[in-house]
Amino acid sequence: MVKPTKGVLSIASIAALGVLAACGTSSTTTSSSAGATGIAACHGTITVATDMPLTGGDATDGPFPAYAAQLAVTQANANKLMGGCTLKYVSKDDSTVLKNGHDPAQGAANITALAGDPTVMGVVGPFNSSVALSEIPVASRNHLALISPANTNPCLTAVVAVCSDPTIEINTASLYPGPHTYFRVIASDVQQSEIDAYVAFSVLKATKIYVFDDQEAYGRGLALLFIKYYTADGGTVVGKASLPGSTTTFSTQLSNAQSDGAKAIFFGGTTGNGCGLVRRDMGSAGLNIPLLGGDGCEDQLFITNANSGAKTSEANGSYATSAPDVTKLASSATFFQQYAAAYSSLPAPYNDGTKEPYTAYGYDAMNILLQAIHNALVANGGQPPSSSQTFRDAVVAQIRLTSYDGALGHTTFDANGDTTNTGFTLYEVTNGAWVGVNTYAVDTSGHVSVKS
Amino acid sequence: MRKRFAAFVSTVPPGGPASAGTGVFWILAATASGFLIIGWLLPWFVGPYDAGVGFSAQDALISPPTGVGTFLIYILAVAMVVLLLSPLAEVVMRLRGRPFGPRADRIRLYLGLAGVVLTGVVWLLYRVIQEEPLFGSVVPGEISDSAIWLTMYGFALAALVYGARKWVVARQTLAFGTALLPFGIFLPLMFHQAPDFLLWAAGSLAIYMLLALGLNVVVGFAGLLDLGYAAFFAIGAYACASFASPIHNIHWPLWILIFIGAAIASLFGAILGAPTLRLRGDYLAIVTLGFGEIIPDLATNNVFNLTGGPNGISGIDQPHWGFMDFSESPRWYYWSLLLVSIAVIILLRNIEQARVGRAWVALREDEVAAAATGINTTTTKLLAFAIGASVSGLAGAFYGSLVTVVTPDDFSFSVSIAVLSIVVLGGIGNIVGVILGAVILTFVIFWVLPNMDSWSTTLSSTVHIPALANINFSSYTYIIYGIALILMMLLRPGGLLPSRARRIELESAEESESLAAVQGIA
Amino acid sequence: MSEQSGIPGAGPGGTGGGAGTVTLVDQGNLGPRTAEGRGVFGAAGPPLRFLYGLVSKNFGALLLLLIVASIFGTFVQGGATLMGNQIKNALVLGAIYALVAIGYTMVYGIIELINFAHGDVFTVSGFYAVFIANTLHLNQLATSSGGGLLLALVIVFPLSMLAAGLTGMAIEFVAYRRLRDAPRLAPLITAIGVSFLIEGVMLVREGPDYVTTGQASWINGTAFTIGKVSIGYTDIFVVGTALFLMFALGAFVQRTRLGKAMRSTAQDRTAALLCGININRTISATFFIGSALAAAAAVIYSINYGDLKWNIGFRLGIIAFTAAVLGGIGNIVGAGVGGFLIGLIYVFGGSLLGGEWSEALIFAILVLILTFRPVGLFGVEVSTRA
Repeated sequence: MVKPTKGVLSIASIAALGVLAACGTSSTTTSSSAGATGIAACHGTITVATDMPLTGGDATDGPFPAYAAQLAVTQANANKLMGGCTLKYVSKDDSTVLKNGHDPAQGAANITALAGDPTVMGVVGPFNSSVALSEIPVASRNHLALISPANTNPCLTAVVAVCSDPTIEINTASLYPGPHTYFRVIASDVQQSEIDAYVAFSVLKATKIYVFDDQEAYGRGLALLFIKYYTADGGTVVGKASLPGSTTTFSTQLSNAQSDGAKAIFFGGTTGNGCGLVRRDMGSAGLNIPLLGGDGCEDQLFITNANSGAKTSEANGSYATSAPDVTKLASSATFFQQYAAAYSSLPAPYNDGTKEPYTAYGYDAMNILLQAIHNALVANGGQPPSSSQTFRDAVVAQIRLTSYDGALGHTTFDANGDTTNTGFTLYEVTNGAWVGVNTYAVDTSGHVSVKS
Repeated sequence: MRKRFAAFVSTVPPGGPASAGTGVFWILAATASGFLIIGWLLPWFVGPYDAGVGFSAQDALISPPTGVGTFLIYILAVAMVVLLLSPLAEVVMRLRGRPFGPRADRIRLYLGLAGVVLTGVVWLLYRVIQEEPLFGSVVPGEISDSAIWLTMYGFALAALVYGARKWVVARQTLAFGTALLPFGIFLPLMFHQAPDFLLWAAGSLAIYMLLALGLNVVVGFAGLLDLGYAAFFAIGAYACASFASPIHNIHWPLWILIFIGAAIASLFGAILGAPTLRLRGDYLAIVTLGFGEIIPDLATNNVFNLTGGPNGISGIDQPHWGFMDFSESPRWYYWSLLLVSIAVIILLRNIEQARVGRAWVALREDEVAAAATGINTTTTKLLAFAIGASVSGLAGAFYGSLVTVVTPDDFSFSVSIAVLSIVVLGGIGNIVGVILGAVILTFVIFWVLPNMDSWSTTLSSTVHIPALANINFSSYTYIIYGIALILMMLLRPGGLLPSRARRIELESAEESESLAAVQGIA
Repeated sequence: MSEQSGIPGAGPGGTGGGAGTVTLVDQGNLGPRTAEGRGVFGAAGPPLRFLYGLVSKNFGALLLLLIVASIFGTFVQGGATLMGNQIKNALVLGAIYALVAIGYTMVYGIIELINFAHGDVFTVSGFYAVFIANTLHLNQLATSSGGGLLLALVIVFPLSMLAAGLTGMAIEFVAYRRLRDAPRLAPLITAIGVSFLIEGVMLVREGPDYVTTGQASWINGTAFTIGKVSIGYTDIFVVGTALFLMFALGAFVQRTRLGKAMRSTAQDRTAALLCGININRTISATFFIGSALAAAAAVIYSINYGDLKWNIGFRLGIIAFTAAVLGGIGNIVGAGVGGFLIGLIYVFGGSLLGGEWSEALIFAILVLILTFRPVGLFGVEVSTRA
């Protein structure tokens, strides 16, 4: 059916097209001023994403780094970091109802979806090491940069002896079918456990120790590494217990520890899986020895749980190593203020970034990613490369060259994608709150020294 | 020939013999309507350029009709609205006692066929002839292929359903298969703009469907309550993962793994079924529950150094068959999964109607009487467990290669309950029902529930009720799930599409229930 | 209900089907009687059956032997102190399991339903108790003086038991009553649905983490010491209250009219009806009492441990159900004893084999007892073949 006035209508429709294009829903074109050069002339959309467990049992952990990363994107947009290009942010949730928390399958699906979007240039995540196991291969295959703010399992980036332990069994090489695109801004458990062993043996002066783990990837890895370094230091592990996260009472194992003459208890695992409960039960059993945990124990919930027993001040005197106290760095003070300002309307505890140790990690991870994207654009004359794979490769290459000062201090990456900003702080519960005692660093030969 | 075609196309007097048996008809009619509306509005659900689906036909109507294309779309819109509302209209008319006649069906058949043709023309116009803007403000080339083809499929499905109503009612399973199989086969091509994620979702759906079909054998066919089905899934997944990963440095191809997974799982199915032989009802359920808890425990504790502890087995190979590298293109993965699923469905259907199937029916109804007629209850029960487990072994093989890491957490009680819910919701003992249940529940669990928060936020800003945005739907999932299960059992215990036997059972139960009420027992 | 556990038709019996079918029990046979039908166990039949019978009849003795051996093993492992400590731990744990198990066994005995929601009733009544304690400022009252403690206990126990009982009755009325004669799968699924519902409500209201109840400070201090093992007042309180409630319930069931009605309904519902017993009321009362006991267990739990989480009930419930099955489903004394036995197995198994095997061990016991002696330790085998 040909309309006789086709010509006129065509002109009218083209005019309408032009008018509507200005306020259309298309996101491929933004105003570009002819004649601008460099990054200001950039046109296109760049998307960055986070993949965190936002609901279920991880709801008190995952959202913090996600919010912090979102803040970084908001600030980058305000500063026009990408010039004329539009910077978008997508938040993915890798928790499912079935698992009541993080789900590796959902994580893999999220990364697959993000990788399928040609405008996505990098993802900050995941939070859990077990999710990383399924996400890293997908990211690698799609050349997509993946920066984790919280994965500490060492086998994700490099092969260490414990990776072939039958209860760990992670083959690092098989995680990278493509290029190595995975990075993390947090030190791995190799350093943390070396420091833990040092603390247990030389600082707490405990020659015999009883080790718990919570049967999850992070906790198990930390406990195994701890045992390795602790026995190398000269200590004796009098007993081990590997209990599921659903355990409600640890009295049986603590009786064993008591009878075996343990001088301290080590807990490899998270508070959600019983770190605080062990302390509570130690109080009930009258076991007056120190408890040492990793960064999974260093949170407010530990204190609440430990004090829930008959002794309401039981938490005092517990120890845990964790990421260096970023609230003490000047650079991070600014960040936490900005966070509080941006998220004051959120319900507690999400309105306070200090309530969770990984908030600043999410912030720095996202900033590092954005910086790398910016550098890749500049290196390409201010325009994104035409092929998304080329762009992603360029971003990954730029991340490798990162030398970034942020809320965590100075971060660079080594050849494996691990951060060189290692060092863990020993915290002690004093008067119902975690207080930093000393920060330790460990060098490549395994020698631990006090940093500050 | 013409007479046969006429007989084929003619319809039963609506509301004819038994209303029972038309379940599939309504499902397909609803599906047709669903495809039409989703195709029409696809990007409204997914978001433009989210998963790369572009604009829908709806967006072409933003401006006044200006091109051939837009005019055609107006016609299509009319046809679509008619077909969309027709199931609803039919229900209403039936309730008023004046059902539609065969002429209405013929009209709808022609509308459907016309819709198919016109949609094809629209697609040709914007794909092949792209010179002038034919669709208002939408630039040609940006319209979503997927949306067009979904709409076309919806029209075709509507034509089939209304045109061949009698056949659909009479040959339910076949109709269901014929209607949806082409959709399944062409799915990767239809959504070629967003391949990976969609095929991932479809793959997960297929895996859950396989699991549900396997459980259906145990619970539906043989009547053995199984609350620990995830244990067989775990065994199948771990077995296949062991043979295709660096953990033992064995790398066997997928097509061998399928059989190995099925064989090992069925062996364990028989082993785990053995202690339950003397048990009935609730006790059987509890023992299976016990096994469902023991198996993941054993896996976590790395029994016999086989299972890799709490990290499970990672780095599982992605299958490749010569030129078909699954890791490059998930289509081949999807198609092989589809093929296996179809094979399983056909096999199970045949088993259901074979001697074993009839033995299961007897066992389910009255075990003592079954034994009295010479059925070997031991072998029959063990077969039920073995066959049910073998299907989940299959699913385990595909699961491992999809997610590349298999951990003990993947096989918790929640998974067993989810699969049981699918079977119960869909229709215990009814293969089509189970498939339907899998589609609905996977859809709800993996798409509706996670997105409810963002939808409520969008909705709240649209209708200006800010309170809506603050409801954290994800924390209500357990509540919703629990209420759904309770309501399902109270109102429709047979499931959405009860099997014929179950329907009869429930009807007689209702009669005896009223009798019991008279007696004052219940 | 306490004379015999093997309620005809209520043991491992009850095929599916409508209300009209007769349920037969098949206890004590390993497959069909005829030679051709022996199938898998054909040639191995007689010796296997002998072995089976041996284990079946002496299951209780074997289990006791195992427990004593593990206690002795613990003695070898760590001396009398460790043994004493673990016995203490086991009794405390066992007391809680026993109370919850009794609720399961009562409900199963009377309507043949495994009430999956029972464990969640336990948790939710713990939260009721927290609410009551916080509203009435019982925490301050209890820690002020001995008399205050007594007063607080006298207030919190009955109130939370009442609340829990009403919850249990409501659940029965809404979810289970209509499905009393439906095929077995329906009430099972409904029970699971109720369990999810209650868990969901608790998750929304109380959050995903442990909630400090504040009741752990009510009772503390060491009562006396045996060697190096210190027995605290809390331990005595837990075990003592559990035993008291169990005996009180036993007396109730034996001596009162309602108890008699419950026993007869469990034995034969039609006959009970013919005797003029109001079945609905009796069943409701059973649910009330079972849930009240779970509430008592929750209060004890809270006083002992001091915190609650939304999902501890389900796990605990399944373990308690194992205890009920161990003792003999439908048998109250059996459930009580079973609870303590399960506590012993859990603690000593964990002590000897490592904590990761505790739960697997419990479920293995469940499978074993249902394989070898489904009627339970205190059940009597009832043969119904002519």
